[in-house]
Amino acid sequence: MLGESLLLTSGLLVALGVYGLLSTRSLIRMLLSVEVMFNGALLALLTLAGGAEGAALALVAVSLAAAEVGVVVSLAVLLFRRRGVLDVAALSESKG
Amino acid sequence: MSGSEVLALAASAAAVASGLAVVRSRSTVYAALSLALLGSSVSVLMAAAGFEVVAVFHLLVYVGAAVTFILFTVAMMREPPEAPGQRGPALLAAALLAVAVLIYLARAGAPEPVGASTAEVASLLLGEKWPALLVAAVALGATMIEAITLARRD
Repeated sequence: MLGESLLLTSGLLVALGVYGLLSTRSLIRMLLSVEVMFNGALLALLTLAGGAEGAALALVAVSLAAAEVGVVVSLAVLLFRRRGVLDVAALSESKG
Repeated sequence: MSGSEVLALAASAAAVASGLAVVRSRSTVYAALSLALLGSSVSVLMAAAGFEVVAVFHLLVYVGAAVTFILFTVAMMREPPEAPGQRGPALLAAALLAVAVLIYLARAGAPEPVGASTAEVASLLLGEKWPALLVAAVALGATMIEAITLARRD
């Protein structure tokens, strides 16, 4: 019962994240959608892997997700400061 | 139905509702706030599944640091104009994924989660699997340097 509930929630969160990721071009919105997917994937990892190994893997995954947030938010701040927009289409015009 | 199952169902509903609010909210600040709620709901689900140490870590590091960082950044920037992508294909992809998960659950079922105690996780991470801890520490240090370099560049 709990396993089904967790996996169903995980699948719905990943599906919502995919929708959010594909339905916007704003860098911050895309980051937020990826984080929704990450939460879903983390739940699936804990349910399917389980035990101490799964928990250790989840701890490392959360640390790396925090690192990824730092990088993407810094990129967003830089993009916003230079271009005044957060549209990823503006990134493809960047050089250097 | 036991108390922890009721709690898990309520947290599942809260997580899905928060996830929906993240992707559908018009204001980016509210979307970031909803992400914090989503992280908290997922922490409750982890605790209900027997992973108390991961739940606390997720709440402290992910919600407390990463999501708060996003929230403060978004709040300090003025709201940029909406940049919509392709909503039709996005909806189709999300629906296909949700159906695939439902089919998987109907066919294979789901294992009951096996929790882990703090002592087990700590002895694994500080013993046999210490390189994982080292990689995470190096990644976090490198990220701090990256973030400072990117934010300071004119």
